[in-house]
Amino acid sequence: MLLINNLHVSVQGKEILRGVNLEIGTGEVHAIMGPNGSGKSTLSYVLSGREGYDVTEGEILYNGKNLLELDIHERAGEGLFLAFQYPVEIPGVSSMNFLRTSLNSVRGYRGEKEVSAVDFLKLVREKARSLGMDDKLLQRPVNVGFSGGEKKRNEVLQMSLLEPNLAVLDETDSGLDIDALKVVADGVNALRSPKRSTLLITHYQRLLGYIVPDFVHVLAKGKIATSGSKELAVELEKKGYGAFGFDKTEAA
Amino acid sequence: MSRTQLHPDSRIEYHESYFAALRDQLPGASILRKKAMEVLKRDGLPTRRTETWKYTDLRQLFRSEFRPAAHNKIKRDAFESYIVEGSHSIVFVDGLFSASLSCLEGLAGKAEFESLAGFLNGKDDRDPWPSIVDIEKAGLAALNTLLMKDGVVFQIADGVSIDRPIQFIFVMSENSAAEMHLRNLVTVGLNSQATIIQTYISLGQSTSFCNVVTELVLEKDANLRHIIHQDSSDSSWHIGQVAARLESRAHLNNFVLSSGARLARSEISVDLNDNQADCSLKGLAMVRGRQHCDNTTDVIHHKSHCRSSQSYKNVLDDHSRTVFQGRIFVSPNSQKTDAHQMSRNLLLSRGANADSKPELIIHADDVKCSHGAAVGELDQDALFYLKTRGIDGPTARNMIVHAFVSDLLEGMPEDHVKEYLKRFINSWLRDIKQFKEVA
Repeated sequence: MLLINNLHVSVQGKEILRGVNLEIGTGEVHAIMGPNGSGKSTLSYVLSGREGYDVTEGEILYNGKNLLELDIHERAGEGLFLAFQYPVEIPGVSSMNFLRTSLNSVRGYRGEKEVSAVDFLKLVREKARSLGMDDKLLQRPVNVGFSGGEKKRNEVLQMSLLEPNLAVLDETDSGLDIDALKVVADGVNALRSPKRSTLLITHYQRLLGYIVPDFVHVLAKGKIATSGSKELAVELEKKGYGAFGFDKTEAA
Repeated sequence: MSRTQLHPDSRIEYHESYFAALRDQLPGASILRKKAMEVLKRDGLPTRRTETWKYTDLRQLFRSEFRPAAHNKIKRDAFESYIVEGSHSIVFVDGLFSASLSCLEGLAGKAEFESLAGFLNGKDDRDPWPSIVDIEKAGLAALNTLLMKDGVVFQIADGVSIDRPIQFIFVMSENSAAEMHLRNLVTVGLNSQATIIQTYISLGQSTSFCNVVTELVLEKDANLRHIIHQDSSDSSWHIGQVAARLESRAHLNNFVLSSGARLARSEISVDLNDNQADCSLKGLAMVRGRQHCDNTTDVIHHKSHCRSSQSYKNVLDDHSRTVFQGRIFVSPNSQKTDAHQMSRNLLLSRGANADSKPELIIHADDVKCSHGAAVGELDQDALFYLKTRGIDGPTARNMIVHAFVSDLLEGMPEDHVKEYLKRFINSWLRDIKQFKEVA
């Protein structure tokens, strides 16, 4: 599904990723952990195509395609989804209009028919309910006036609408209380299938108790320092990053 | 200061000779016109040294030459897309009334329409026209008074509600280079209500100069929705002035949509003349290329318990420029005034420039007054977010620009007028040139 080869990325001339290698197979769930400033979020932004992140070396292949040549919206059309650590508020853009434009854009890209207003409403209501989201939230502008937990649920709602092949979840657990965490994790788990892959980016092991990964990688100093099974995350949590020779915080 | 500047006096001499030819016309305005000539001779035309004209430079306009319009035969379908569905229409071509293009059925007993020429020819020195425009104020109202030839006089009776909108359409024919001084008068009788739209359009390129003054008189409990849509050729000049007087509990809802002219200025002054009068002024300017658009307001609270709100937004692309000058004046008699003002600008290009100047003068102590101004660029984080959800760049940008302007139309009833405004706003947005990614 995803193959990252020797990826070097600079932001404003400063090298953040220094040769990342990572392979995610179809149906697998991978977790990337690492100290603050190790480059975790940079990786998620490069995958989604954000401006200002310069790939100086290496490549990213997504289903055999050169991901870096695709526009941001094309990546979404190809089935890549990024759940934001800090979802953006967009005053004046109604949530429903946003969700419907998004869904129909992606469907259009995939050569599928647009969803009618009536069917869309039904679909959204159903998905929102399963995530414990109040319908009223969706009558507001995108993320405006949402609590931290509501924003994260909204990310998972978008994910379940767009049905991505590869979901990248950037610190989805941050700012969530335990109940919200469960709901969000259930939402993510509901999408798990042998056809879909997930990349979890997280600082803490906590989320991995709910969304159990097949592989765990530790990112440090811009490289994958070590990889292992889900037990690696438990060990890290117990002993701390320091015990593995990683600084707790790395200046990026 | 450029040495080639035409001295305002020579422009006034030119106007004086022009005026001589009109001297005996419109007897109902003869006193007013003599005064206008005096004002012009005394004060001249506005320059950038004039406080209220600091940001809008008329030198190019005064250097330009105009010629009288030829009588152009135009058919109604030439401007059909500008007709508000279901409206009554009064049409002028190059400043002259066209009965054959107008369509005004079913107003008998509710309202009367006359051309300005007809109206003023029926009056004289003993029965002069009680104009409410302050021609002493720096601007082009005195010039308009001196040189006006025609316009709309629309008088709405007491206690009537006119359901269909009334649209005044001012068409500039192709290649027109006419100088037009239009004067409109609208009166809304006691407890009456109506919607009036003034539309200014060019059929193709035009280098015309349109100087229009519209007087709105709202009697007690009158309610007027007044829309101005200025979409004339981007090589033409447009100076529009609205003077409104509101009596007790009268309500004025004014909305100006400007996207045309190389240089446009839209002035509105509102006299809240008696208790509990209420006005809401809104404006949206959308400009590109080297267009210049100025919105200048002056709201005067004369009595207590009046409310006024002003909300102006500008969307600027390329090297365009906008100006907002908003004034609120609260007299000592105006306790319990509620007056607010806001101006926001969205710059789509680094070459665009927006100036905003609020001015609040408050002589009463028990009032609520506020003002604010903001200038910003497209939110790159919001754009990125939308694009990661599969929405392409131009659509994402349009969603954000649309979000910026959309609240101006909130509160307007869902009708053909709102549809009309939305249509022109969306068409402007669609014409924003291909999105430039910021590296």
